[in-house]
Amino acid sequence: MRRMSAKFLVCMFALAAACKKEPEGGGNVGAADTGVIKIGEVGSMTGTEATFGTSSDRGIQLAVKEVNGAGGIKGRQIQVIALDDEGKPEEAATAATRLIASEHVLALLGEVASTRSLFMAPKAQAAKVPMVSPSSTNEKVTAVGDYIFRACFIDPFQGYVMAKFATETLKLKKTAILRDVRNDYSVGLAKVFNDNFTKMGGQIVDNESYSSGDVDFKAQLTNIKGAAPQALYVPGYYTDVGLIARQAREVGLTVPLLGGDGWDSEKLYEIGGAALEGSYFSNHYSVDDPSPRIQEFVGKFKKEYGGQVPDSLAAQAYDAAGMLFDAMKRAKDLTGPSVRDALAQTKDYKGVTGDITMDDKRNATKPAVVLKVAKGGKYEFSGRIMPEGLKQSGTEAPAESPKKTEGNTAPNPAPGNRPTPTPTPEVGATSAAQSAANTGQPQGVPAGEHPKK
Amino acid sequence: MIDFLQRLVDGVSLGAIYALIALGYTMVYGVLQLINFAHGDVFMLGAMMGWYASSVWTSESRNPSIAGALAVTLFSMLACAAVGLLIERLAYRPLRGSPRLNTLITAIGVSFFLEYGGQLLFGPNPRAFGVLPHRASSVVAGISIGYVDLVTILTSVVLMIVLQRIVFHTRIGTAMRAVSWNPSVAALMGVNIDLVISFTFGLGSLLAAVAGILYASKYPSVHPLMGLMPGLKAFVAAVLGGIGNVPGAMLGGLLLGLAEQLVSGYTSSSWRDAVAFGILILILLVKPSGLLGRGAAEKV
Amino acid sequence: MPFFGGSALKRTGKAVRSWLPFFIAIPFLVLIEQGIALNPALRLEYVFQNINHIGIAIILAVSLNLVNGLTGQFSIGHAGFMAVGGYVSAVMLMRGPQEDPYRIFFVVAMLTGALAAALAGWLVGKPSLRLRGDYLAIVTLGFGEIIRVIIENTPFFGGAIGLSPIPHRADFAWIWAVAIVTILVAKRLRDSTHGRAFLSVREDEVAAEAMGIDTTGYKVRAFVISAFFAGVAGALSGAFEGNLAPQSFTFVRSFEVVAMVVLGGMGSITGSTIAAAVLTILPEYLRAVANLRMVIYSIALIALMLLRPRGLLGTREVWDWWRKRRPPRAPGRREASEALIDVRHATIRFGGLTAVCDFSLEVRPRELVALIGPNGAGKTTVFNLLTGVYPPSEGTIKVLGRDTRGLAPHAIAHLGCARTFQNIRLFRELTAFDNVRIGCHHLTHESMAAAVRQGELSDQEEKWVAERTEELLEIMGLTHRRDELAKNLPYGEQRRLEIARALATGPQVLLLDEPAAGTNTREKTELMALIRSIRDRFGVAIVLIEHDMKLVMGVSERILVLDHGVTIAEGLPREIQSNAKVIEAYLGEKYAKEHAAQIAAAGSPR
Repeated sequence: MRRMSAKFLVCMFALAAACKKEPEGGGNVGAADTGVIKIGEVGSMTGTEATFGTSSDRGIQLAVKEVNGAGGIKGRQIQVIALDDEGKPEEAATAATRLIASEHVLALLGEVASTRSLFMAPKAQAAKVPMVSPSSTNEKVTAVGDYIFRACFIDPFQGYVMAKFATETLKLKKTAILRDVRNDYSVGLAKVFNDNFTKMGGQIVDNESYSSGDVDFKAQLTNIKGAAPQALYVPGYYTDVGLIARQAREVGLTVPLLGGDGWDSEKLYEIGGAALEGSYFSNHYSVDDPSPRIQEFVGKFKKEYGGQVPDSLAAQAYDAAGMLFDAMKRAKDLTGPSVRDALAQTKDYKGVTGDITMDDKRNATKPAVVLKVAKGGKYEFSGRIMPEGLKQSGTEAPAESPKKTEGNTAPNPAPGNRPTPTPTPEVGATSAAQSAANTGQPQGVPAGEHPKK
Repeated sequence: MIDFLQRLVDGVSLGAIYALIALGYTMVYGVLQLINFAHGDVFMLGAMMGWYASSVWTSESRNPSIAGALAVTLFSMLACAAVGLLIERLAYRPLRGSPRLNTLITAIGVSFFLEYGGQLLFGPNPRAFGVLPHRASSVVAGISIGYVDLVTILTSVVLMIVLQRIVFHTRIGTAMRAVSWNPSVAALMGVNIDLVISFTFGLGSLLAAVAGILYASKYPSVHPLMGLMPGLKAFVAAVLGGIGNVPGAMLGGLLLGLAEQLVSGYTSSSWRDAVAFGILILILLVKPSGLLGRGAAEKV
Repeated sequence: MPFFGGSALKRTGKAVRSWLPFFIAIPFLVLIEQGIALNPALRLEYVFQNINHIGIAIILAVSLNLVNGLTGQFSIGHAGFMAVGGYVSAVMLMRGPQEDPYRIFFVVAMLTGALAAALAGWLVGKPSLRLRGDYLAIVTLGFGEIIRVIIENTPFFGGAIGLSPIPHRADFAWIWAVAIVTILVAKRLRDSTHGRAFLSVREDEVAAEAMGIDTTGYKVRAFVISAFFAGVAGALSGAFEGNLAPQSFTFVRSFEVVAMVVLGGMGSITGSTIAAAVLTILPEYLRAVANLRMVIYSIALIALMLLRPRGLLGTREVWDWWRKRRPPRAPGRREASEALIDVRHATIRFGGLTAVCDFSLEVRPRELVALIGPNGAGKTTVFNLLTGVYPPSEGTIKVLGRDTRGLAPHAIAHLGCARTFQNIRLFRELTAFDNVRIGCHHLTHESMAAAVRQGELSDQEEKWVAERTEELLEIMGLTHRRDELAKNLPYGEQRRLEIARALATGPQVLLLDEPAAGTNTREKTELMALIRSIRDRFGVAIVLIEHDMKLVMGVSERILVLDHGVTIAEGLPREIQSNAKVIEAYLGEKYAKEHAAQIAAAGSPR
């Protein structure tokens, strides 16, 4: 038995070893080849974050398929090598190293979570491999070096968006915050919201927290109810927000919930249901926006993935990949430094999550929109949530806090309306031109309408 | 004061679910001295099977009814019992003579297998769940008690009573207890050890399945990793009450649920997980045999 | 016996020789690091990323092996200690000097982190280590989680996003230098008398305690040392990756390290090293199968547990093959000294049951006293009272002049009172030689640090211990069984071995609990002779629990009879034999009749 089992084990390991694909040797990226262009992707395909990683991956794969179908870049096909990091930061670093050093990728896409991006970024920066994160919102990520980019806005912006919306549109004076301590995205947004809301004259009456994966929030919600806020800011992910909304109503907390783009998923209404009606969240776009660009994307995504509606992570990843490919097209050759330069010069890239321009900190300046969850059935079953996009007319350049104001997301065919963002040190001092963007609003909501509360 | 009472109610309903899962742990531990780490994942499978049965294979979730709920639960119980028996047969039985550490590692391995395999098979996305008909919450003296909570508490009590009867008033129950005290002697007395252990696993898995359905009804987000924390907490509850002790598991579950709600409510809520472990550590240091357990002295 | 030779030069030479592997390795490591690892042209970053991860895994696995493998405690909170060390040192590094060319500050930061981790280990271990196996596992798991929750909730430690950027102060050379040190320290400890003490705790705590080993103390020490190295690993990890995040220190991480220890073989340092390498590399190899990776990993783990539960190497070490045997030496002599057991009116109750009531006993040097009575009379309980297993509910117990109330069993053993057990408690998985050697442990003086340093004292003591052990084995007629595992010895030899082990502790009084149980007539006669010769040769007093009357009558000078916890008779053998109460309670009419002649004729034996 002993001998047999030892042999068996040796065979198993040999088998596993044989499964290892040999990484292709040598080869400078972008040397005059006609072969495929290799792009690396790092995401959490398994583990506690798997639902976010797979979503992101789908967006990227769709973008790759499209670009390859259209003939590739400079006549060459794109190959994405996607590695799983299991949601572990050091695995992300290892995966990045492998992609850079063994697979010799031209660029990296990833990661969703800022913590993991922070582990990856130094490797990319040191090797002069451009890296584009689709959804990491913590400021520190792009600060690692000039080869690190992101296709999304950063925490300070979103938190500001909601704070502004809450004070100006909803005219709220008192809110409470329920943040996810395990998630740096949530912690970041909560902090910024807190700071901005108080600065704008509001008062945070209660600050509570949970950990992602928790299912019971009654204790925190009961506390919040006791503090009698007018709204509750829950900048978490849809996986938890649905439950939070339900339980809020169960403890008798009837005020609207406010959130960020982490809410965006068909699962949200599926889990949260009617409890979410009357709540608002900031996002990049609306899946129901009739604009052709968005609908085309949604249609393609659904077709590719069996009817699944893309969530904001998929959309952002799609844009990150798209932005990268666009830069590669513009780059003078396919080497790391050239692509990096091209990325840095990205201006008005027409993404589904908005027109993306890189500021001098390599963060995306693009508008956000606030959506309302109104009456309706669940996404999946009876149609969809019917969000009513709410836009701000607002042009002020806030004194020190960064970020532009919101415009609407509508990928507006009228180019003149697009604001030209000035790359100022504090990102996005807005220009008056931006307010003009309001006029082309394809959403059914004319400027200046107030939400019915 | 209302707040406090509300928290108490919330604690009891949460605790009832912990208790149901803890019962499975405590029985298996009593019979095998094994912390079945995979138990939390059997619980997850219960919820998963329930989801498939009610949302994919039938449309019960669209028109939930009591009869439908019972049918779904029954199906889920059978599925989980089968899984539990399979795990015992394939992973634990061969290790019966081995050091405890090895069996524990295997249990953890099985747990990982179910979790990652589940992600592969079912996909990692959470799913909405609903088998019980929607009824409004009752409000008693300003405190709201959900319909699901009432069902949960009732079911848990009934199941505990049934379990007590099985363990103390049936032949197989006596056999279970005999095996828990001394397997080799029990075998010499003619008890079919394999049968008893399989039975225990099956029973524990049945309970886990019910707990899964109730849990998913209360927190309607079902995904392959949902069993991790509840499993661990249920284990804490089992130890708290005295591992191997059936009423102890119930008591432990209740107390844990209450403690969690009260501590989360009155202090910072992000320390919730730490509460469970803190209690565990405390009880093990102060009274390792648990609240209702009897200390087993080692004969020198 | 100890030799006072050797010049200072010789001593230095010895110290240098023992650390030679380490000194030789350092230049190689630096060479590899500078020439290969950090050479951008070779593009071996990925390979070295893995190699460095292996190095850190080795530090973690070998240190955990001290606790889980060697000492047999079950800890799955290793990641927590790693986190403590990592975070403390990272915080220091981030606030430290910009340049650190000689890595002085780094070493300071690393050691601070490691000491913090050791402190955490002490705080966790001290209260928890008296818990049984599985419970200890869960408690350590809980502590690990609590540590992680604390880090997540503390902005000073970066919260959920972690700490970055941490200055890159450690790479291949540092990581592997520390890994080598860890292996050397573990090896030295394991091979020393302290290593045997750890093993004895793993094998049988009760027996170890009775042999004078402070089991709780050793458990805590193992825990603290392993936590220290986990902290070092954490510090290295942070300084290498440049980042630290709480998600890296989950229960899953702890479990991965446990899997390495178990796969390699609990107690085998070589095994832990190999397993650390295999299990770190395996997931990378399985990447090709992408989504199935974790599923395959968990199946492989289960398969390993099922097919080869003792792990790759069991308890074997690669250097055991190089072991030289020490030749036996001539036995020494042992002087007798004053000895005294003085029990007065001791009573002990367990709940409502009074096991022993108003028991008094005085044992003088070199006496042979027997304690007899029916089963359940409380005889073993008396032994347990004497050896400190239970404190008496009433009365006083003095062993060698000291009141034993509040003393742990190992302290009483240390005073000079040793025992054997009714159900033989040998260290079954250890050789006969090792079993007896452990008995010598509490007489040694070398500290753990000395064992690691391999100073002169440890050499001397090892020699002395070996000689003493050989002598005892010879006296017990067990020399031919020297390297045999205790569990494989025939029953009678096991009993003798247990006595040898007890004698190794150098007692003044020896308590033998049913030494003749299960032996045949011939063996009993030999045993009687043995007992007497032990008393003569070692000058110990012997207290004997026995049921075999022939043995009792043939050996004892004085007999106490217990029945239901009460002393019903005390006196010379022939007095006891004819005592009506004793006959009624224990001996039986048949015995009295059969031995009437013998009672009348015989006087007190010797």
